[in-house]
Amino acid sequence: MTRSLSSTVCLLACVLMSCDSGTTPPDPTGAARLEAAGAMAQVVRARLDDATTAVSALTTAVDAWAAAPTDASLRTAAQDQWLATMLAWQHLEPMQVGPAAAMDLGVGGQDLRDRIYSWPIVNACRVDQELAEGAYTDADAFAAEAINVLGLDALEYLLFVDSTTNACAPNSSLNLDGSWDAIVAELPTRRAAYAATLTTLLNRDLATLRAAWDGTDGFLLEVQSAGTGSALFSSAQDALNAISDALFYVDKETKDMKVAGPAGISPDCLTAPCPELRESQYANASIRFVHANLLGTQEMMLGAGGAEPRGFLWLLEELDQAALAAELRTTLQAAIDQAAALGERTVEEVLAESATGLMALYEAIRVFTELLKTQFVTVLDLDLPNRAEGDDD
Amino acid sequence: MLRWRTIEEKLERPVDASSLGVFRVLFGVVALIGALRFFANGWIDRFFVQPTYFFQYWGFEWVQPLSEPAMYAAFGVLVISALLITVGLFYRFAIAIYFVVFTYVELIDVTNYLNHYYLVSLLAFWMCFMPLGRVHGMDARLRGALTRLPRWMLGSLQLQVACVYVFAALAKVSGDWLLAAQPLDLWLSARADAFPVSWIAGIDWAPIAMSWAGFLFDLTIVFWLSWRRTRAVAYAVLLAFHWMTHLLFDIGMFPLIMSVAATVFFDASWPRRWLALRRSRGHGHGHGHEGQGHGHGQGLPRWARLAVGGALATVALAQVVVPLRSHLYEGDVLWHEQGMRWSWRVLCREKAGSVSYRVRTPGRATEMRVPPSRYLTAHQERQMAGQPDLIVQLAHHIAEEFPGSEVRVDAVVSLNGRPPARLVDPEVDLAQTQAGLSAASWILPRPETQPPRLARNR
Repeated sequence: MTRSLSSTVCLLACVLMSCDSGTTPPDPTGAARLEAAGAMAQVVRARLDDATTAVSALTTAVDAWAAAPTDASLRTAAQDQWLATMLAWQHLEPMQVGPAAAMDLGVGGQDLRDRIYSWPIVNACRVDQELAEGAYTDADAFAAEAINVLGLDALEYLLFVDSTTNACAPNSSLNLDGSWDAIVAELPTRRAAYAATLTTLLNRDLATLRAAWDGTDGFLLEVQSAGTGSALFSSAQDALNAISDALFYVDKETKDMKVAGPAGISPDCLTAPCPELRESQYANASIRFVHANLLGTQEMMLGAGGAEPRGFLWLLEELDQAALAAELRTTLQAAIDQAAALGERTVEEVLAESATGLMALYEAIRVFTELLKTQFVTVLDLDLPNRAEGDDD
Repeated sequence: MLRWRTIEEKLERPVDASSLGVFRVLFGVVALIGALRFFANGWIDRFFVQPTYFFQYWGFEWVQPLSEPAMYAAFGVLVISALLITVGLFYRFAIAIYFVVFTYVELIDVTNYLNHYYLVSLLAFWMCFMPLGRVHGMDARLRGALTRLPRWMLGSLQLQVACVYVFAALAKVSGDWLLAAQPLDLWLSARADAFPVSWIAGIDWAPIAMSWAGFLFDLTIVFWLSWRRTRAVAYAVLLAFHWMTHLLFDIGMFPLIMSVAATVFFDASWPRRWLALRRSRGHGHGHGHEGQGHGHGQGLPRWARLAVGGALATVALAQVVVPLRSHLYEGDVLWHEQGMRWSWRVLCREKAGSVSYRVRTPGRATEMRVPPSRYLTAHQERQMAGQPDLIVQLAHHIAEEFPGSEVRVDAVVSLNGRPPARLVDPEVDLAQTQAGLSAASWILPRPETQPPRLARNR
């Protein structure tokens, strides 16, 4: 009896420890997760190159404008190039993984995204103050300034605002001590020079971001070697989780802020609708940005880029979850179509017709993110982002 | 009456106090590590300072967080009291303080609920009634050592720990766990490249074997530990089991706590025999008390001892009854969560939800969409999204911000990988709904769909 019980317990222990009588263990599986994580990381890396190319062209355009600040056509060319750069960057917004991510939130985060585009942390008044102070003439020193006077968001203000008044309160020192009045005549020159400094810094920051991805200690290799030598990721699942975290941008920022705000269904909108809550305040390209966010999300889900896409949808199919993959594909495409249907119109133009277009876009994105936050994370056993790393049981 | 006396005599029968003395030391160490982890991981700030809204326990709505310095001080108190418990100095005071402060901290926000925190509170409660500082502790030098304590002291801890394992096993008696091998299939797939799962990740029947093994382990481990002949092997299996759960899951202190807690099933004298503590038997303060049945309540009149004993017996009974309350509600408790807390349903579901409130306010034409993130941290939101009573609590909070409003919700949940389904009736005005102990008609039934099965070798 005792022997029999001991044998039972031993067997139990054996099953629990999954031992196989000393034979060589089978090859580790989970290869699909690693493959998907690596492929999606390559998508991000490729998009960084696209953004770099766009910023390079933007630099040329802004430099030309800075050389002739009163030339309206050069300014328009710079504006067009800013928009092209922003569309490339908006593709990357749902790909804030690794060095681009916030230091305290993402694995390998270095806060590099905010230096390039810090929305919703923007402050036009601070940009005007910098304009008056003129510190932007020294790019090296200006690099140490706060994120709300740097990057593509500050650049939007400088490129698109025509006003000779500033964005600060009437009782601010800028308006009380006469420093703004002193520069009004030089505004075009100053704005162009400030913009040129920002493009210089954008090139540097993008180079820093790319460098953080490349090389033997770069983030790309960390993802590709997850679980087999990576200092950041002890498993492919960890790498996959870091990438999936980035996708939730489309839920909070895109859906709840960029769409719900202007549509007037956000609690931040006191009297609906609220076009003033749009993302792009001066270029008025908010809807196109939403479209680009969704396209970037789709690219990650598909793992597009290589000859054979290896994104989350492919991974789900590999795990025999084709129905879920199909539903994610369909709902995301519906959201993209809805955004595309609103065209290149401004938020005001859409709202002048009706708020239903934006509401429909909100609903379409919600249907997709609902799936993302529920079955997608349970089937792949992913943690939702920024979970505070508490224990579980 | 005679029968009661017999029970009383059996419960009061003195047994070797040595194992309880060692348990006190181990518990103190675990409590110390647990409190220090909150400092090290920044959890005091994240869980008790950063949130602007806290979910309250039914009946404990009066529990509120303290200011930031006071919260840090509270955890400082936990560290100091854990140290005192470990060394057995001013033990009765220290364990009482630890119990009160730890329980207070855990009652601040429902989203911080963890089964093992609840277990720590309960163990600390029982230990408040035991003079364990005088067993291998510094209190022995001050007040004299004890070598024997009443049987009920060890028995109460055994009952407590047995409840955890047995109810954890009963929680696994479900089609999802035993037939579909979920959520283990999902978990193993995600950890396929991690040791030791990598050894078995490609085996098709591994999830179902592991599910059954986990169920049988929980169901029978108390029996194996209680039987002297199988105890050593059983404890080795237990250590392996909890070590594996530590490797695979983010369950913090749980494996360590259970590894320590399981020692209560050892012989009461195991430390003397195993750790060469025989000298404390022949020397020192304890010798004079041996065999006297010395212990708790010895100086109290009989009526007082009966009152305390009756109260403790009620608590013990509650430990058996409370986890069973979920059976009073129809449907799957893992879905509707009524009776879920305090029932030792440990690691038995994978659940994720999405919640979006629809708020209609007087004088506003369009319905507002209010995301929970407006009020909650990401951790709170994730926990709340699958728990209907918390969804109602937040709806009430939203209704306070928008007076006179109707608050409805789009709350969908995926349980063990199923396609998402509505958890809460979207037509019900939650501002007018109470989430109490009665069966909630506004919670929709679990979908009949089966959980998925993932392909292996990928």
